[in-house]
Amino acid sequence: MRERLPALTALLLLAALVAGTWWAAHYTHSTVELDPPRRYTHEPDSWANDFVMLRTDEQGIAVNRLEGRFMQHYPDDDSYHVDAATALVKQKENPLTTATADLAIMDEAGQRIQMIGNAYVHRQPDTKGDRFSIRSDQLTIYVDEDKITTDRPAVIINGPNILQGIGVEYDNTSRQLQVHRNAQVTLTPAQPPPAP
Amino acid sequence: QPAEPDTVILSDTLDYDDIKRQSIFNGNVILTRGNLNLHADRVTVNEQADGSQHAIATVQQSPRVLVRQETPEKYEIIKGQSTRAEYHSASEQLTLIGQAVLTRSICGKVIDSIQGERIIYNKKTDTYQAIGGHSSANQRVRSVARPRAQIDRAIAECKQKAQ
Repeated sequence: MRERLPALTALLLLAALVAGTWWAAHYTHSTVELDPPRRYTHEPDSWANDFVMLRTDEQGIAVNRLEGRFMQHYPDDDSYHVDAATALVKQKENPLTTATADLAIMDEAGQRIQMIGNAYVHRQPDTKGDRFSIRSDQLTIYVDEDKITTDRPAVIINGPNILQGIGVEYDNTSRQLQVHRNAQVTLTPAQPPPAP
Repeated sequence: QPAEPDTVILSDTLDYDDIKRQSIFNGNVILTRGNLNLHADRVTVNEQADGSQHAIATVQQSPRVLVRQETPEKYEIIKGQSTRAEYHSASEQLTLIGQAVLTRSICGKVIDSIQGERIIYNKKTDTYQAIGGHSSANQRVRSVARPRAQIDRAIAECKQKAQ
């Protein structure tokens, strides 16, 4: 039994070595996640300066452009927060609308853009050349329906007339505007054309 | 020719159609233009091609459309009421339709009053004309007017009160 002692101790040492390395490997694997799941906390996971995002419809025609000075993307609700933002919407043959605000939040896969802080929407003048703009402290743009809504007080300038009210809904396709509460409209008479 | 005054319209809700250039005001509508103001439940304003406005005022809940025009320099107040009123900003003509009554009072005293199916009041020339019409009960226009002397006396009286 005595002469087999060195062989036995070598075997034991070898087994200890194998167990030790197996434990070390297992331990490191369990602490460091190989493929960690997406982090769903409301912290930005990507950001960009002088951000421009262009969204196209199925035919590849651009319908929406969102640009701004600084963008942060939040993974939990997949929303883009853009500072000093400008959002342009051009749907089929509807007139182009340009919206600016201090902060824009685009979510719902780009369907909805909330313009927050000095929100101002300007619609391209129509055939009659009348200016049409909506100003409020918050406006929500629904890109695919081409609608602009707010439940805050808003001032709408339409050609020479000024419309005010609380709660406004404007559909750019049918070009219908609804004011839900306290509508006040000032119609300034069209100036007679200057005498020739 | 003084610049045309703005028309200010207050209401509960507003539906504006940019293609038809039509605004529909609903609920406690108050239309003010210079010293003319009009109360109704619903006013539809159509913008004409030349940019002038054509307003049609009707009532649902309240009994009548009420119109009031003050001319302070002549101490004169004209009050009108009817079931429907139309106003055309280009010709500044107000038409009261349906059991229309228009009274003119100077210094608070009623000087003349007219009833008829339809009364047309022209703001520019400050004249009004009433038409009997088929549906009003007596088919005729009823008008009561004070003699000129009484009107001047009322104005003079007002002037003293004013000083």
